[in-house]
Amino acid sequence: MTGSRGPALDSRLLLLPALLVFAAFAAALLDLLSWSFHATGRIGAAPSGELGLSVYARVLSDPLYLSALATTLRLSAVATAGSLLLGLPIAFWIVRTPSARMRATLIILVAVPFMTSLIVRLYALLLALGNNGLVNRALQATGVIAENDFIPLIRNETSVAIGLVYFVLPFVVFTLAGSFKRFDRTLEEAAANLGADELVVLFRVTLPLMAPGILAAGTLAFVLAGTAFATPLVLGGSAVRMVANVIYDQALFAQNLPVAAALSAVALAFTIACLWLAGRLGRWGSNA
Amino acid sequence: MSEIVLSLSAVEIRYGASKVVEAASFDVRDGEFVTLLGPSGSGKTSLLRAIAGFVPVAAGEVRLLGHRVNDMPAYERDVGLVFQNYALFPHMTVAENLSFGPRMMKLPTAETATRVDEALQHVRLGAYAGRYPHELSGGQQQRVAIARALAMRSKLLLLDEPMSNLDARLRAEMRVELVALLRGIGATALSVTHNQEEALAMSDRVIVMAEGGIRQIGTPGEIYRFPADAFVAGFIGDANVIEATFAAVDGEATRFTVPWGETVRAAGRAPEEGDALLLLRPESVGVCAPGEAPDVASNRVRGRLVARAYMGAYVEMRAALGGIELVAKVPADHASAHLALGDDIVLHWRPDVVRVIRR
Repeated sequence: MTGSRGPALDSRLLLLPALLVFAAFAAALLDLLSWSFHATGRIGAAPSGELGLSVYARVLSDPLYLSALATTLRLSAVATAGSLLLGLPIAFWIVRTPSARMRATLIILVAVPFMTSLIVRLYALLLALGNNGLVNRALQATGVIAENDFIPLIRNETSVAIGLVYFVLPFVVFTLAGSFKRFDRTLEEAAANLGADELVVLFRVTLPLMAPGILAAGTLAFVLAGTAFATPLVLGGSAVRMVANVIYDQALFAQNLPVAAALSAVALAFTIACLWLAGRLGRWGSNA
Repeated sequence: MSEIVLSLSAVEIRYGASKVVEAASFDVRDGEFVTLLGPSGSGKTSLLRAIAGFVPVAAGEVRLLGHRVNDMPAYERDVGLVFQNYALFPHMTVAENLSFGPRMMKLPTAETATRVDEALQHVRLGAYAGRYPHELSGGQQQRVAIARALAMRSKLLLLDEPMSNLDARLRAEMRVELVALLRGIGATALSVTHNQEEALAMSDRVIVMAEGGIRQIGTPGEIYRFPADAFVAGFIGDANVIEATFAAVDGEATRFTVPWGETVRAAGRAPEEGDALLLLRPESVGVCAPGEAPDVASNRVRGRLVARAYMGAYVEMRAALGGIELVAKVPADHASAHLALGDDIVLHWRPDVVRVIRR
C-alpha cells in the first residue's frame, strides 16, 4: 500500500523548491504593486503619503503616460500583424516542404537569431537601419533615393516596429509550426474529394482548423511586443517610449516608485486581459 | 454485360525514381464490390489514391464512366472516398460534414437536406445529425464517413482500409452491414485492404497485388481454390507449398516427385513437364494413426507429429517428413486430434485437392 502512495508524495515534494521561488516572485510583485497605492516614495525609502488611488488617476490622465500606453498598443498590434504575415508562410513551409534541406535551412534561419543575444541583434539592426547604414546605402546605390539623401529608419516607430517583428518572429514561427504539424492533412484531401477547390479548402477547412494556433501565436506576439524593453530603448531612443521604458525611467531616474508601480499594474492587467480574451476566443473557436 | 464504371489500363505510378505500381489493368462494373488486396508496399493504396486524383498517373489510363480522368484534379472527379482515418471535419457537425459535398456541387438547399437525411438513414445515424465527430464512437465515425461519401451519389465509391480502425467484433458486424447497404442501394465500390478474410467475405471480385503488380483477378472462390502463383496461394489463407518435379501421367492424374522421395498424384493431366509447385490447403489434409486405412485413391505419407495447436474449431497439426513440414487442420472433435507429439502419423489427401502451379 505504501508503495503506491510513496511516489506520488515524493513527486509532489519535488515541486516545493519551484513553489517557493514562485512565492518569492509573487511576494515581490505584490510589494511593488502596494507602492502604487501610496502618493510618494522612492527606492531605498519606505512608501509615504496618503493611501488611495490618486496615483492611478494621475497615470490614467497624464498625456505622457497615456501616449506611452497608446504607442505600446499600436506597436504591439503592428508587430503582431507583421510577424503573423511573415511567420505564417515560414511555418507553413517548415511543416509542408518535402525537402529536408529546405526545412533545416528555414529552421536555422529562424532559430539562430533566437539564440543570439538580443542586444547584439538590436545593435546590428541599428547599424543596418542607420542614416548611413546598409539599407540606406543600398537605396542610394540602386537609385531609389538620391546620393547624400537618406530615409530616417532609426529613432522612430518604424525602426521599433521592425525590431519588434524581428524579436517576436521566432516565437510566432515555432508556435505556428507546432500547431500546423498537428493538422491532419487527409482533411484537405477529404474536402477536395468532396468537390472543394484549393481556395475553398483553405478557407473552409485549413484556416478554421488552424485558427487556434494562429490565435495562440498572435497572443504571444502581442504580449511579448507589449512588454518589450530593450527593442524600443535601442532602436527608438528617446523618440519612442513604450510602457516598459517609462516604468524604468520613473523607477530609476525620476525616483517615482508609485507611478512606476501603477504603470506596472496597468501593464500587468492588460497582459492578463489579453491572455483571458485569447483563452475565451480559443474555447469559442473549438466549440464552433 | 453491365456498364463499366472504372477502367484502368496499363497504369504506372512513380514516386520520384521508384515505380510503385506497374502495368495495372482492370475494370469495375456497375454494382460490383471489388477489393484490391495485398500486403503493405504492394501499391494498392497508391492505386486507390491515383483513382481519387491525389497521386499522378505516370503512364497508362484511368477512365471513369468511359472518360479519361488522368489529368482531372481531385475536386472535379466524381468519386466518393471513405478515408482510413475517416477524415471527418472536426469543426463541423455530422450534418455539416454530410452537406459539404452537395454544397460544393451547388445543389438546391432542399435537395441537399434530402440527401443528408437519406444518407443518415442508410447508416442509421438519423439521431446524430447535430453531434460533432469527437462526440461519436469509432464505429459511428466510420458510418458518418460512409454517409458523407454516399451523400455525393457518385457512381463509384472508394474505400481505403474501411475496417482497419474498428475492433474485431465490430469489424465482423460492419462487414456484413456495409455489403448489405451497398448492395441495397446498388453502389459500385472499390475497396483496399491487406486483410484477406475481409476481401474474401465482402467482395464480388478480388484483385491480388504484390510488389506493384497485379498477380490475380478473380472471385473469392477462384483466388482461394485456383491461386495463380505461390504468392497468391500463401497470401490467401494458409497453404502447404511443395516443390515438385513432373514424373509421369497416370490415367486422369499426374504424378509428381516430391522432396520426401515419393510421388504425389494430382488430379488432371499436367499440361507440361518440368518443375512445379504443389499447393495443398491444410484443411484438405486428413490425419490418422499408422495402420488405419484412409481412402484407397488418396495420397498418403508417414511423418512425425512435431507440433499441435488447439485453435477452438480445429486442431492444427504439423508433421515432419523428409526435411520438410506439412500442416493439417483437423476438426477438434476428430479422433486424430488426440494423437501425441512425437507419434508417427499418416497424412492423406485426395488427388483432386492438389493444385499444380507452374514454377
